[in-house]
Amino acid sequence: MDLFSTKVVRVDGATVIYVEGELDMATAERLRDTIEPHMGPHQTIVLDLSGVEFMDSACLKVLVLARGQLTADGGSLVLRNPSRSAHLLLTVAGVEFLLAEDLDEHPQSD
Amino acid sequence: MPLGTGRSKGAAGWVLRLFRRRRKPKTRMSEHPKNMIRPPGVPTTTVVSLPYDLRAPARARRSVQAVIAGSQLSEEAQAQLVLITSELVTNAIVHGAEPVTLTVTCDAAHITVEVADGDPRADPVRFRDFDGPSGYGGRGLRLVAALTEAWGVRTEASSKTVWATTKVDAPNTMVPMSPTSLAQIAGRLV
Repeated sequence: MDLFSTKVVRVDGATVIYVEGELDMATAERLRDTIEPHMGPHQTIVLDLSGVEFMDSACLKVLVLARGQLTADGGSLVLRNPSRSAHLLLTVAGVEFLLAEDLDEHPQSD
Repeated sequence: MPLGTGRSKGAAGWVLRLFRRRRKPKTRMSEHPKNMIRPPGVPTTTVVSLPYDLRAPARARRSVQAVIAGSQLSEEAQAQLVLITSELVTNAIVHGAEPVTLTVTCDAAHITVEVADGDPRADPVRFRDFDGPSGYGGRGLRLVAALTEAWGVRTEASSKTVWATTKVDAPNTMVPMSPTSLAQIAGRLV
């Protein structure tokens, strides 16, 4: 039973990671392992959450740490297209600011 | 089957009993929507033993989804209850001890999710002191507190139980966490 999968695409200088399935304590490390190879100075990583069927707070640490590192190195992490479950978690956790309506063309502007 | 023997009343009753018997839970109570065949107002309880490992939250979510699928809860309320369940079970796995058990109780007005684990100490559970040192647990329980109007912890000799209740016909009562809480979470994680 595989509850989690990702697909990585390079688009316009950014890394877009399509996340599908369930994000919880069983899969949070796999999300981290997927993100990490694409970290680096001035890198923009976009997580597309449209395929997330469930998401709980176990993955917040991964997201917050990745965003912190990327931002410190002049890059950014943005989440887009949250599914209903992803939107619920991000909203109730108070981290909607991680969401972007569109891919940020100017990641250093924030 | 002797349905045409002139004992139609008895036969009908027998068929009805057979039908009812067939709908009784077999081995996996989690898959049985008992709440749909009981008269309203009669509480139904589903108890599921969970593995003491990373699979537990997903297993618990499946069980809760099976129970509430036929309830009057809105889709949003169902999603919230599934999230609450996942958070409580995650806490039990990270901070608690074996055995971990999920109990879902439904009546006409409420659905209550309870997660028991084999550690009777309640101190890993932060009640009101969300900003205490128990960072991970505090985070999950913040979410639970934001998603439900009533939750709590009770302890017994060899276990503790964290519970949360959702009103079946409740309007959306979700109160998002304050922005400062994320800073606290982030500060704790780094």
